[in-house]
Order: sequence, then C-alpha cells, then structure tokens
Amino acid sequence: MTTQQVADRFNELAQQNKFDEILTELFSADARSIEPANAPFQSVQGIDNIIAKGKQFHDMIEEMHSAYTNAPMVAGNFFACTMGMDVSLKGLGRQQFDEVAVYEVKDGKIISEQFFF
Amino acid sequence: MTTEQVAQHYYELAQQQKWSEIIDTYYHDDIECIEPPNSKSQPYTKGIEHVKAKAMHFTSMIEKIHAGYTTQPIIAGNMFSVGIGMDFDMKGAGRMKFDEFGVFTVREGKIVREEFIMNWSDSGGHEYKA
Repeated sequence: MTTQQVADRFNELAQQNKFDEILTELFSADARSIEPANAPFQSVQGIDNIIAKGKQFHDMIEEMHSAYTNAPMVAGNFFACTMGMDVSLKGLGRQQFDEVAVYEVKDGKIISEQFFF
Repeated sequence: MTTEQVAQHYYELAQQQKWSEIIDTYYHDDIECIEPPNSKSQPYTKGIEHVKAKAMHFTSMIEKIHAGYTTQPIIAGNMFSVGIGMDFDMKGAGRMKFDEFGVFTVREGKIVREEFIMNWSDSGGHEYKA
C-alpha cells in the first residue's frame, strides 16, 4: 500500500470511529507513538503499549460530547490530519482540544505517530 | 487574523516560494523553531533574526531546485500544518530530496512556533550538516 492508500484507509476507519481497527490493521508491531512535552501521556513504542495508552485514555472518559478527524494530507511517506474532541474526563471536567497528528509510513504500515497540541 | 487566514496566506506565499515574505509578515519576534534529529539545520532556534539567518544559510547552500511543493494547510484550533518537499542540488553534496510536515502555532495572527518532521531520500549517501 502506498502512503496515500494507508492515509485513505486511515480516514475511512477514523470517520467510523474504528480507532482499534486502525491500530490492528495499519500499525506496524514496533510503531512509536510520540506525545508532545505538555501531554498527560508519555511517548511509547510497540503496538501493545500504544493500545494500552489508548485504553488508559478511554477509561478516563466520562462523556464524549463530540469528536472529529479531518481528511489527511500526504507529503512523501508522511500523512497528517487534524483531530479534536469535546470530552468530559473523570475528575477533570469538560475539556476541548484540537491537535495535529503526523504519521510516518514504511512498507504499507504506520511506523510512527506524532501529536502536536 | 484567524489561524485559518494565516494558514491560507502562508500557503499562497509558499506557492510562490516567497519564504522571506512569510517570515517578515507572519513570524513573531520570539518565534521558536524546532527541527527533528535528522534535520540538517540547528535543532532549536529562537528569535526571528536567528530563524531568518538559518533560512538564509539553507538557501545559500542550494545550487539548483529541481522540484518543490507545499500542500494545502490543515487546521486544528490555533495550529496549522502543511506538507513541504524539495528535490534539489546542494552545493558540494549533490542531489537530495526531502519531504516534511511543518506544524505551526498561531497566536494573535503571528506564528509563534514551528516544528518539523522530515525524511530524506536519494541523498546518494552524502551527509551535510549546517
């Protein structure tokens, strides 16, 4: 799969909120997930750790008010998209955030994701 | 000026390769620039004069540009991102090509932070460090 094809499939699954499928179908086993310095989560490597980080976040959600992922843009073997959510987190109240996510593709798989917010 | 307006004008100027005008018009005096570990530029630059000097140094190393592009911007809150690529000859180092995403943070109509993620290809094994 080309980077464009991976990006299109990513977007197709993201629009259906199938984020678990994105991880199992499109991520390489040793992918890295890089968070910014101001993130509440740490950067991790390995698909199991990325899945665990996602689960940890989901467990914090009290109510999801709205969320979006915009269509990706491709440059070389990277694609980027913008996403955001309006969410109530347990003990932290209602929060809104927007972020840019950049994905690096190699041999048809996502080998890294990096977030900016 | 909204983030969307800054992003759109950035894109228009980038299409015309007017990089100096982008810096002069939209960069905040205290701009922070963060380059990735595989960049050929300094990892961290702060202040418009330093960022300008870095950009001019890079430009001075270009012998010939074969192709280049900037994608339409994507917007998230007060950030926007564009894909940028260039296939060029660098003085003394031969032909090389990079693709990158730049992520820009906008405050009160000015870009206050830029961070890049990049990949080099077809560099012919030559290494160049600014």
